[in-house]
Amino acid sequence: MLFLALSQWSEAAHRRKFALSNSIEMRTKQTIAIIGLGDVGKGLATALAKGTDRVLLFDENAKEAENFTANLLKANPAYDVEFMICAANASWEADIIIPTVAQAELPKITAYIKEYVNQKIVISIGNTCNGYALQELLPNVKVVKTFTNEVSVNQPTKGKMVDCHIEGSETSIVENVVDLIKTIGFNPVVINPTKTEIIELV
Amino acid sequence: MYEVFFKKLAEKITLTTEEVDLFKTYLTPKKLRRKQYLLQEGDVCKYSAFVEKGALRSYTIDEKGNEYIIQFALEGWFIGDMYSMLTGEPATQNIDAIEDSELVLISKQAEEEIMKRIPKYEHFMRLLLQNAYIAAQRRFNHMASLSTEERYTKLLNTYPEIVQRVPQHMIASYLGLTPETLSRARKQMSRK
Repeated sequence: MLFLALSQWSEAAHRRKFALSNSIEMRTKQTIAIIGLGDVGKGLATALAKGTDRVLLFDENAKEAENFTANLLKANPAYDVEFMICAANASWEADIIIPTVAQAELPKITAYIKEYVNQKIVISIGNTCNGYALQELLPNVKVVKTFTNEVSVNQPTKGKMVDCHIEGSETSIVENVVDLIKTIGFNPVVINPTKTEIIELV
Repeated sequence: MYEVFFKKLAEKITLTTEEVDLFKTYLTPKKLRRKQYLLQEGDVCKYSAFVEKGALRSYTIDEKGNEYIIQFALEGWFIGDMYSMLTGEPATQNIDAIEDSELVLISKQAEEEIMKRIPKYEHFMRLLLQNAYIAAQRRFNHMASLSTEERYTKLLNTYPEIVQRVPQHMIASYLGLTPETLSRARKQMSRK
C-alpha cells in the first residue's frame, strides 16, 4: 500500500498556497524515470499508465523490474513504459527523474546518476525521499517536493480527490509537475513560499 | 557527454578549466531515441539543443499533413525554434530525432546566466547567430533562384554527410521537391 503521509511537512501548513490558474498541457511527450520499484515506485508506475508520458523504470533487482514492466504492459499494451538495466541511462533519457528509494540509499544512487540529471526536474515524493537532502546531494537540479497529508493512489477516498502539495522554486517547473500529479490521480495544490496569498485550486 | 560541445566552443573562444567546470553546471544532457520528439508544435521552445551524437530535423506540417523540413542538425550543430525561444510564443516547428541522439540542452535562463558569468560566451553566440543568419539567407536565395538539380548539387557539395545519412524523402522535403522529382533529378545527374 502506498502511504505518502508526511509529518515532517506539517510546517507547510503555515505556508500559503496559490493556484495555477490553468496549467498548460504539454504536447511534447516527456520521459519520466522512476528510480526504485518499492511500493511507492510501483504505485507511481501503475498510476502513470493513465497518462501520455513515456516512463522508464529502474530497480536494482533487474529481473523484478522486467517482470513488473511486463505485467504493466499486459494490463495496458498502449502504455509507453520500459524497464532499464542502468539508472544512469534512464536518467540520461529522462526529463523528469523520481527517485523512490529509501533515504539510506539516496547518497549512493544520486552519486551514480548525478552527471545525467544536471539541470533536470527531480521530484521528491513524501518521506521516501527527503527533498532538502536531495537538493544537497544534487545541487544543480530543480527539486520539486511533493507530499500529501493523506493516503495513497490505491486507497479509496470516498470519491474525494486527495490533495497533493507541490513545492518548487520556479513556476514553469512546478507547472510541469502539476500535470503529472493530476495524471496519477491527486488534486495538485501548489505551495509557493514567497507568496502570501492563499487561493485554493478549483 | 560534452566533448563535441566544448570542442565547438574552442574553435571560437578559449575557456579555462574552471570556466569549463562552471559551464557544465548549466548544461542538460539528454538522450533522444530515433523518432522521439524534442519539441512539438504548440509548446514553447525552452532549449536550444546541441547535437553531440546523432541527427535531428526541424519541420512544419501543413493542414494536409505534409511535412516541410526547415533544418537538419548533425554532430556539432545547434537546433531549436529560435522564434519561440526568444518570444516565448508557442513553437510552429516540430523537432525530432532521425537517429538515436545525444544532446546538450541549454535553457534560455541558463544561457543568460552563462553569458553573465562567462562573457566570452556572448562572443561565441554572436558568431553562431551571425552564421545562422547567413545560412538562412543562403537557403532562402537557393530556394528562390536555383533549379532542382542545382539545389541538390549545392546540398551534396556543401553537406555530403546529410545526403548520406538522411532518408531521401526528407532530403526532397528539405529541397522543396517531391521524392519523385528528386529521384528523377538524381537519375539525370548520374547520366551526365
